[in-house]
Amino acid sequence: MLSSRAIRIWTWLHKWTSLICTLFMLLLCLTGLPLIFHHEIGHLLGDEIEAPELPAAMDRQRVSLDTMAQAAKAQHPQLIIQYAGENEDDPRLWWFTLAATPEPTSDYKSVAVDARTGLVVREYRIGEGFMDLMFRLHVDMFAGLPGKLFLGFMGLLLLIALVSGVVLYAPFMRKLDFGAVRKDRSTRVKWLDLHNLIGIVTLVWCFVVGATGMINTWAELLVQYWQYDKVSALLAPYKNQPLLKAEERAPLQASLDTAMHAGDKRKVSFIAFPGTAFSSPHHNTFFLKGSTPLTSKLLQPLLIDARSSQLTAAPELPWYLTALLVSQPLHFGDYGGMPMKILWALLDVATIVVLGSGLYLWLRKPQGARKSAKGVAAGSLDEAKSPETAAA
Amino acid sequence: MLSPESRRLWTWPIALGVLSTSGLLTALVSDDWGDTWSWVGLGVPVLVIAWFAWRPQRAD
Repeated sequence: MLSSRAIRIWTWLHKWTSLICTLFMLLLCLTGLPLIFHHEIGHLLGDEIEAPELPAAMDRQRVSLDTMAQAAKAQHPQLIIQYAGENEDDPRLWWFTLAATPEPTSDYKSVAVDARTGLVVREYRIGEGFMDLMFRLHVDMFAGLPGKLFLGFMGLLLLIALVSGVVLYAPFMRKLDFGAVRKDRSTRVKWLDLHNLIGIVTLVWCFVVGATGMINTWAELLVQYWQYDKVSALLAPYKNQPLLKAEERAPLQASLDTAMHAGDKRKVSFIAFPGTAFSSPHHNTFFLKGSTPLTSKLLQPLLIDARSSQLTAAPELPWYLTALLVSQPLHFGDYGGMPMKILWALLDVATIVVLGSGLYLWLRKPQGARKSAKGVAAGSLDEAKSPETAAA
Repeated sequence: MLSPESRRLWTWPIALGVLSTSGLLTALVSDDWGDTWSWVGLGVPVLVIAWFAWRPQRAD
């Protein structure tokens, strides 16, 4: 049993961690809601790109990677290709992103190319529209890496608020049955009970989504650390070499063939071209994936010399990046079909209710209780009949 | 072991937590039974909330 002093400390922790992160968590819950259904909404808005109808016999036919790259580049001759990969849902399509520089930038184009014919299908809409707004607000609030890390820190506060909420659940519920919602009492008591009920029931989901979201904000830093820690040693022979010029590069298809031959995984998640954040100035780095639900999250990097098309190294993905990749679906809720997405949305709404009721309970704290925080001591908590003074 | 009071307090939360956890994990490893179980594992907590939030008040 908690001492009254312990309860005061946990109450203080719960109150302040929640209060600080609540507005941002409301933003994340609200923007996250449409993002759960981004495929379906994109489909409705006509943003999703579909492969043109062609005879089924052509489905397995593939033009060379160079043909596809040239088609994408012809759309934006002044830009360079940063990344390319097979469409996750439809292997008949490949996407190519192009930008003015190989450096990371939010100013880029994305082109869908038909892998059967090598013809451009359409451009993805980047940086415009409702879903893009939701995405940017959810990921970094238009503030780049600092924005991401800030939201990650808010996520940490949420986790502390969840843990302290669980600790406080016991003293609050001692005299109550599980799920008791005292509707015959004041509005505040009713919302206190609902806060406790929904909070404890959604706890695991909320913790998992919060923790994986927080980990996601570190993705860029983790990739950089890996490159600094491990990849730089593998690339020592190439140290200080300038960005390999386009005319010195071998055909891309040769790199792809090497990758398919060398890797034990067979699907291309994405290719990072020379000079980009996921590669070196001298390499086409292939990230291959498996085809089962779990192995499709486990990437195998292959560094392939862009001039010779020879395999330079096939480093193991470190545990922290594997953990990051495996944890991503746990944040997105996109790995259990439409019923899971609907449940994800309902749990998201439930979380909004917990956040909102928490805020309400704090705003509606009765006069007097605010003055004497000691009112939160165990004695008054035991009195389920006076929870007016109890909740912070 | 848990005291009777703790057991009364924590049985439901722990059961629902374990259920949610199992649902979150099974869909990661299997696309058929795993997905189906995830709908149970996450669906039951949602139903529990709905039941206690909207059930009629007992007259006692």
